[in-house]
Amino acid sequence: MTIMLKTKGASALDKIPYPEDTSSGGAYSGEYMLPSAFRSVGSIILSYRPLAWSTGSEQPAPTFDAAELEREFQELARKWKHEVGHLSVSSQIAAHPAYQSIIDMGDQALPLILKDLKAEPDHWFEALVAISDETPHIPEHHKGDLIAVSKAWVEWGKMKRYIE
Amino acid sequence: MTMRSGYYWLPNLVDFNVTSESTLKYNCFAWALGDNSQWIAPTGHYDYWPESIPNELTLDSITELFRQAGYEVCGDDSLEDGYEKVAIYIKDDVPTHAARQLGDGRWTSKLGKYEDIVHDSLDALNGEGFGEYGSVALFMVRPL
Repeated sequence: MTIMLKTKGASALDKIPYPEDTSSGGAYSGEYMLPSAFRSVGSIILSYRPLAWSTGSEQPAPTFDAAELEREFQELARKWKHEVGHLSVSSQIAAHPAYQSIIDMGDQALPLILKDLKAEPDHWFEALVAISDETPHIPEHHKGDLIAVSKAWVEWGKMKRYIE
Repeated sequence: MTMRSGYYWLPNLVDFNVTSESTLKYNCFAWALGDNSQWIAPTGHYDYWPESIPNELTLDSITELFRQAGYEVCGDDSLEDGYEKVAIYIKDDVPTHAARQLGDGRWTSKLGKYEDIVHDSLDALNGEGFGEYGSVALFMVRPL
């Protein structure tokens, strides 16, 4: 299975291989088989943005009620964290369908991501770059220091007034 | 320290000891190299990756990472006095994990952002299911 992973730049899409569930199938959109573990994520996606990340099509980000948005975000974030915590490669971690659904939320997700990142460093960087199309300056010697990168992004969020 | 009875995506991992706390400071490739200070992986925006190695997620790139640290490809996981071995896992031809052999023949692994563990066998991390590490594709060795 190949998932279309959004990267920096709204139209830039990379194909990132993602582990495939070969034990069983399950049609999601008719375009590929969604792994069984992600079917519940698929239903969430379908409820507000059908086919968005399966086709790579660019659609306007949907508008959510704030509470509904936060609920959706928390559920997707919980699932993503639970299922990729043992992985070591950022591109694979970011290819998770729940993570891609959070990217699909667009700017509305930024305060929620940054709040989560402030509470606990995690692999939110690919989403932040994809949504904001920005990359805060990180000194070269901090490459690989994801705690420092987390702090830099939190500072960026404060400067942009996404979080306090 | 968090003590886990198991890891969600690693159903074959049953007997193991947790030897650190969870941390985003370093990952399996760093830990296999004996480095607990950075997240080392190709293709990430902010992960450390040596400029001299192609920035691609392939077995060749991961092999070169270890080669530059003094490792050479070897044939098996047998314990050899005065040498240290690593095992590189792949799934669907894509590198997923690395483990380092300890002096008593057991193996140590950092599981993503989760803890370091010590496990008796490499098979404990095998698995072809969704989200699993696949199996060992390559052993490498360097003198201690």
